[in-house]
Amino acid sequence: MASLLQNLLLDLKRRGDWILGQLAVLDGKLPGDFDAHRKDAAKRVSRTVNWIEHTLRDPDLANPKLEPNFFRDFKRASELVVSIEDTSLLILKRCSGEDRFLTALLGQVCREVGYKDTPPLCGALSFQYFQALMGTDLIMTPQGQASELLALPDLYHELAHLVVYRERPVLEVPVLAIIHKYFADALRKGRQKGSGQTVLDAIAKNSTLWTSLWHVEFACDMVATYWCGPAYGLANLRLSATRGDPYQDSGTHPADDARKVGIECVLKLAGESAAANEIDRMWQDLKRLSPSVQPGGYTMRYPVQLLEKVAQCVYQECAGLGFQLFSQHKSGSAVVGEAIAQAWRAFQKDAATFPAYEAAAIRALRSRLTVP
Amino acid sequence: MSELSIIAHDYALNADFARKFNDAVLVLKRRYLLGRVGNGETEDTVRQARQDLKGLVGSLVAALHDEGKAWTADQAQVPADLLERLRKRVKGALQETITELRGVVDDLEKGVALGEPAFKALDVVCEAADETASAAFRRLRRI
Repeated sequence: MASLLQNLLLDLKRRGDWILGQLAVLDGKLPGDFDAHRKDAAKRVSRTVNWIEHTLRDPDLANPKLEPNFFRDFKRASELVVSIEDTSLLILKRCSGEDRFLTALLGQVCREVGYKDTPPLCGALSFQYFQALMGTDLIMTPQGQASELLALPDLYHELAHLVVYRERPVLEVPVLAIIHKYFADALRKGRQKGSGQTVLDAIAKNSTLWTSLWHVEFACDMVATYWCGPAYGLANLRLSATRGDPYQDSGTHPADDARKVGIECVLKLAGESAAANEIDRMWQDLKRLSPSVQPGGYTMRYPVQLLEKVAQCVYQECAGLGFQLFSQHKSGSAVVGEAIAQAWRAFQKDAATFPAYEAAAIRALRSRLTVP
Repeated sequence: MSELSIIAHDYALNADFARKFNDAVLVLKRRYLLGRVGNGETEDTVRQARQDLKGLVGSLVAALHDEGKAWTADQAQVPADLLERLRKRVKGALQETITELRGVVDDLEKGVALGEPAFKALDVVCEAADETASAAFRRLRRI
């Protein structure tokens, strides 16, 4: 009688084969960028199906000493198959006009910023704002994103998520080293000064928050600013205005107010102090409208000195990776970057007439990117 | 921007570590507990698994035993979630766990065969890594 694991593997193989069949049906029916993603997804599912077949032939599959290890491998394989079914296959089968435009637009952004890998597929299918899914090389946007320009800088942030993950040794690890050193020094100084246990515990907690996930968000903001410039800061302000308390943080995301400081650090490094100051002025205006009060311990949790160090590191690594700084494009070469910057200027000049400007700018972008 | 991007990042790191660790342990268990290589594996596969595992366990030991020592880039190989889960899992026996894992690194370094106690310690890591990867995947899919 077949074991539970054998049955689970056979079931997963059936699901993988079904996905391969669906992907095969799409052969010859997709535009080039979608087809490249289709082939990549098919390759990954095929590899998984081959692994299942190989594992089912393993004479030690049911050996009690090895079976738990095979089961863990099955779970990782299952996660991959489910992810491809839920995301890649969904966008490939839909391949809507919005998805095609956003994928072409993202491809152009990739060329402009010096992104080295194949551009990810982009689908306007998100139910949770923008999101990058590195496991399947996808970026999801809100449904209306193909019709607006002001939030497009967030696409750069999502692309940065893929870069920070893939370039982990040169981008994320040096940032982590700076953060670990900063908080280790703070702890040492705190002990030398005879600070109470509450203060030392707070430093340790802040260190954990920064090194667990916050550093990734800060780094993605900074890479996005390096690529997109002041427009990223403006888009961040626009988004923050809809999210409430700028001092609120969570285990996954640092406070919007601190992220704004990180963005300004990169703008200043790029010689755009005036733009940084203008964003700060608008931010103060936003805070005037918001009843939020900076909580106790906030400056210890988000030291400006640390944000500056992290920004310097990210800035240098971006240059080292050959990325294009927003201000160093040859005139006319950054089609999307310039469209976004101009859109923000038009919006700030006259928000009331902006919708007409935006519609015309999107038509021009579609035409430039040859998306019908 | 949304939580999903950072969770996807977290899942990718955890799943990658869990897969690499588990695969190396699987090859070595077959070699040393069952006394054979098989299903396409060779002695070269075993050598590679020993080398991979030595690096992963070495990083894990350094990360678990970081009290007062300077952080090294090598520790970045180990996802923060896994460290937290392992610390919770072994609770008061953290020092013993570190000692056992250090012993595994020594055995891998010296080229000696791994025995049941070594695999017992490695299985604790495999299980914790699997749990963190599965938990991140569930968060990603909101299930």
